[in-house]
Amino acid sequence: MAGTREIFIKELSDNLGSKRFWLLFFIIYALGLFMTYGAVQNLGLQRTLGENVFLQLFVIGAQGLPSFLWVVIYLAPLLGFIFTFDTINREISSGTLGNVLSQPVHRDSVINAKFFAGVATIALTLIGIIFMEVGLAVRSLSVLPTLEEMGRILIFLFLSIVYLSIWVALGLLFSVIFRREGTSALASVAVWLFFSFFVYMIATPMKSLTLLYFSPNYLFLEASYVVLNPTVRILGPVSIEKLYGMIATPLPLDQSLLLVWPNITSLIAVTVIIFALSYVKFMKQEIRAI
Amino acid sequence: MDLSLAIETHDLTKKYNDFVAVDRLNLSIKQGELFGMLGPNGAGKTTTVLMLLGLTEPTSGTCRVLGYDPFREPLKVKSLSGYLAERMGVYEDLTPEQNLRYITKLNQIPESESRKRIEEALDSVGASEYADVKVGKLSRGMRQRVGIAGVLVKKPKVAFFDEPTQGLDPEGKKELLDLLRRISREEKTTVLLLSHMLADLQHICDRMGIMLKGKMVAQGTIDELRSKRGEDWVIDIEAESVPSKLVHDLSALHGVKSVDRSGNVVTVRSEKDIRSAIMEAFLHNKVYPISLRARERSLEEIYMGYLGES
Repeated sequence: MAGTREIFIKELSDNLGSKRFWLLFFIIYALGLFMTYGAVQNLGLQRTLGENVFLQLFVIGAQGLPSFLWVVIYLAPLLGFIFTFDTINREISSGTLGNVLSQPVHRDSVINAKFFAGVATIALTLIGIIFMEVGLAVRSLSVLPTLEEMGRILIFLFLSIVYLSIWVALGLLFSVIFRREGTSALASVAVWLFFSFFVYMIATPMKSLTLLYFSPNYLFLEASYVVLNPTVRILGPVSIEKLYGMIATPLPLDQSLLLVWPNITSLIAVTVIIFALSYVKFMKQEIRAI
Repeated sequence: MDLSLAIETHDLTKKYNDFVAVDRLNLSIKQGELFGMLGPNGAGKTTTVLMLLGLTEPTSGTCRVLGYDPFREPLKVKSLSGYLAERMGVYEDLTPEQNLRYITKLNQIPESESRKRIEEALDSVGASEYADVKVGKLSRGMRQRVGIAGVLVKKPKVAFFDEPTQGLDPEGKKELLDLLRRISREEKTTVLLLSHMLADLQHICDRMGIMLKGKMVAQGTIDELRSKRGEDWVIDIEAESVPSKLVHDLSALHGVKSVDRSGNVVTVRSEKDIRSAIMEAFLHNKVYPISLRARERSLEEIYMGYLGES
């Protein structure tokens, strides 16, 4: 695709060079490292067989503090849409989009490159922090993660990237829909607040798990929890029949994956749908306005 | 299809719902020509250029840029042509040098070639000393130059400039127009210059077109535009006295459209040069003219005439 690579490189370097990126980057890295350190220190984790220390690092966190999983679920979406919420409309209002489109590039190169630059940014950030945490734990615990643990961590990494891609795509969609950068920022924050907090406020009194399944946050929470906790064997409402005769041993990796397969496909589907919407909207936009 | 034509349109039409932005436009611009498109805001000039660049799909009609259909082969057309939009579209957080580099990258110009071209382009617009200052810190005139350098760096065969003089001071305007003229002469680039200011166009353009409400109402060289409209001659005659019989005689002359008298000056409007007939009429009435002067209708008046009609 003509121009995609060039635009991708520019967008990525814009993202990585922006103040907003460094702001969130430091918050996430500081929180992540602090929590790992706290978890190692306070919980007195020790390597015993089947303990999966390295996985617990991400789920339990330090005393009285939320876990790294919590940071990814609630805070990291900001990192997802903070680059994309104004990526199209700002270029329209400054006229630079018209300039780029008058160069020999396809129109969809622009939106594809912007989406993938956003995904690449969050992927780099997540890979960095997760491996730093693992490294920190290796140093303080003096043990190495098992192959199974590494596999689960890599799957968690993949899940996080997919989950944050939803927010990248959402920001992109709003930047195509709304003319004003302020409006798309507010819309992104509103959606983030709704799925992070309000959806639980509605679903909990209604005792509706179905409603929660509409929230990407919950889908990701559930999937990550299962991937990072091999002992979780069952999801959703539990009946006595299901529990009867169940053996309380950890699941192997492929069985855990099987359990959250619907969550993984839904997360990917949501990303694709939101990106497709912004793609179509962008391609159909009358250039006169650009 | 004529290969010597850089731009050719045939009944090109663009409708936005019920609004007709461009109405059956027929335009042909030769290679190397500097063509000025004059018209008020909203006349359809920008829409025409967007269609020529393949950025907007025509509702009907066809157009060709250097023989290519912009809608079938947009990349071909876009790599051969440069476009400076009304809002320029330079990245304010980048330096002029970085802006131009992005353009050369998007055009797949190799690195070694690109450095040379960027230097040349910034040099020819006189912005090389600001090459490493962020565009956001530059004056409007300097940004405009950077925008033009962005067109030059592509070495386009056809260049479109949309209101490039807007917001510039008179000196900056003159320099910019001279620059466009130079580009068209030296690089043999076909230039299509859009403006709503007649003064911008009349001194530098080879040919001009006047566009109103999506229609090209007149086109040709400046002399052609002048002569195309009837009522070409306005003749002022000053005499010691002007008897009303003389006015009557003058009105009766062949080709006269109107005769106005104010004090001792008579103004005759006619289709052609009838100065000798007027002299005869004066002498016949035994009135001796002190002066006789044919006033040329300025292009401004012609333009205003078209504007008034619409």
